Amino acid sequence: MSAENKHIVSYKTFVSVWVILMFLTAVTVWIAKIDLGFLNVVAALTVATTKALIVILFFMHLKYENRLFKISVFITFLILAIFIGFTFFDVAYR
Amino acid sequence: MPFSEFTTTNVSVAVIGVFILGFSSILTGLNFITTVHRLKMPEMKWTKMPLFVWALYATAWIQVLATPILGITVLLIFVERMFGIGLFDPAKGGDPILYQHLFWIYSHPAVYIMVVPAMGVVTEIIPTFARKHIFGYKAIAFSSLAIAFAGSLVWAHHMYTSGMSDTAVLIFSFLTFIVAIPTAIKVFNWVATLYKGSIVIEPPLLYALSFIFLFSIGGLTGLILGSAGTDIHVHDTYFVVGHFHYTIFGGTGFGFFGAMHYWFPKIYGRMYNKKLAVISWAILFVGFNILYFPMLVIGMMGMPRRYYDYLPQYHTGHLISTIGSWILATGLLLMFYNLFKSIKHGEKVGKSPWGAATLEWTTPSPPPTLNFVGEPKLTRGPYDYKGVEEDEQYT
Amino acid sequence: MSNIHKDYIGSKFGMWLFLFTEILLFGGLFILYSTYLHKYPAEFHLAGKELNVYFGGGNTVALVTSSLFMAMSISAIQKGDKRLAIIFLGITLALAFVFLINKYFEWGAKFHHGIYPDSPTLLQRPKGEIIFFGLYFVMTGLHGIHVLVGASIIIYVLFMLKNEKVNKDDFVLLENTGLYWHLVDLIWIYLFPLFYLIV
Ligand SMILES: [Cu+2]
Repeated sequence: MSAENKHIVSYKTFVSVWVILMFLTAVTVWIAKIDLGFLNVVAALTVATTKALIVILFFMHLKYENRLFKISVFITFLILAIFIGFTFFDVAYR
Repeated sequence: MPFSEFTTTNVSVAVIGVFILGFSSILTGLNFITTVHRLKMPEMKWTKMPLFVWALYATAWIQVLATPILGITVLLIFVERMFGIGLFDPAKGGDPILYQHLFWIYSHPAVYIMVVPAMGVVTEIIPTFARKHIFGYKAIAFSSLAIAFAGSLVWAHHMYTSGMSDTAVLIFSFLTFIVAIPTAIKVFNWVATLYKGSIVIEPPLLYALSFIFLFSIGGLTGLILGSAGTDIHVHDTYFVVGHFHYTIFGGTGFGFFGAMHYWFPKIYGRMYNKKLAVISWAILFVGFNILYFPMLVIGMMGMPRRYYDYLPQYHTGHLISTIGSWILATGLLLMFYNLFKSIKHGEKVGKSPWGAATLEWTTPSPPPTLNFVGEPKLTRGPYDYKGVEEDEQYT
Repeated sequence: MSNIHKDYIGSKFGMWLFLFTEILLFGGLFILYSTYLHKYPAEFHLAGKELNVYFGGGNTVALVTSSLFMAMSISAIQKGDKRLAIIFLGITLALAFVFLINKYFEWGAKFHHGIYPDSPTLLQRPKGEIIFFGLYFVMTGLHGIHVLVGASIIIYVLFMLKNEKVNKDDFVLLENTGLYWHLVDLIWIYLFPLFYLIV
């Protein structure tokens, strides 16, 4: 059963992914120390989303899964974005 | 602050119940999506799938993606009751309207969870009894997905009078009209399938046809509620109650009854008394309209919902409505009596009493363990009626 | 026709679908967070300064590292190295507890200062700060429960690895546990900047 679609990711790949994640964590802490006003929020969320993407693609193997998995993940985040975004039609215009 | 957070009734236990119930909805959706992707027979391509399965597939995605929002909402009620955090309490900086947002983000899609499968049932019944290939297969399949998706865009149309921003009222009112498109696609395709078909009137078809009629009334009154201007007039009146019952009872309910009458012989290997089935359908249909149509009228006149008492001018409407409820109840009792009795005493049927073309009618009734005797073979599309084998007693 | 059917891709896909429900469960809270950040930017700024970046940062390192070992544990079992898989998974578990202990001290310190839901000290503060700490306790609390659940599942899988119910040819249980664990990490990746950094 496991023969199909079995892809072994090397330890080396995982460790380099980890190094990048640690680096990004340091970056986000560092940026937060500079006062950029609203841009702080943008920067922090951009870094967080990059990290999340790396975790999903490598640690969670999404890079090696078939199209169904990728589309489904995309749709889920799209729906979440709609839920958050559309709520702002209300709260941003009160 | 939402009433559920400070009422002294034991809401905490109830919301935990809702939370657990949510698992069953989610796991059903999870199961159906995975099954459709992984357990379809290899030769059954996506465009060879019965449209009922398409409808269930679309529904399953709503169940997976919308139910968790209800989960967190009821969890927050529980947490608020326990710890008084104040996320929806204006005294502590919270915003009660956000609670309404969370509630409706789930609860609008929830009505699609109820009605889309019923639409799938109607899509199976109509071509079978029109003896005609379904009109617009791909459009119907796609419209199920479109309804599921559009359902996630419109929740705040329940909140026009809540105090949310006018911008939101405008946008959500506009978006609500979009949902009417895929729904209308289905209705037009059903009607087009019936056109020039060799129609056989059987109980399942009667239910399917009444679904179209009642659900159309439900849908069109929905547009009155969906446009912000008219909604202000009928908000929180019996008009809403009437609309809701035309969609959910006339839609989901009649679709469900249709499904019971359609697959009953497959499930039990016996046929119910068809004559009695038609009579109970007629009583049900008449009773339904006598019960719910007056609600639309007195709602327009201003009868508010959720009151046990009313002013004299609403008396006639309530009277007619009440009489309708008795007729409806009679029809329901008769229908269930007929079905229950026939489980053991109905006339025996073979594999395919209706001459339908989908795969389930090629296996014995009731189906054996694992559904089929040996590997089933896909020899025809789900709506190819040419040369379909039909039980002799019914041809 | 056999009714024993093991579907590797199917069970992984089922797990992903479950993760989607987790994402939307937390998603509801993110809706609240984003609207309240919009409503009370200044109060969030002040209240967020009171959270200790070292606690939050330390926990980020702990979780991301635990994710690394979880991922490597799967590679190890795929290669048939049971011993290494158990060691890696053990480290994952240890880091989960590091996270929880850290959290315990962090919450404890807040409680010590009289900041907990509905506390008299907290209620005297501006409304935006009450909401900030309310969200902080609810979101990190729900996340903490997920860490605890994840840790329990990891313990179970450790036993399954030990008696070779999870092995080179049948490791989907470990892989799905990994998916769950990475999701817990994923949510923390957002919680950390939202509470500790956006100030
Ligand atoms: Cu709605």
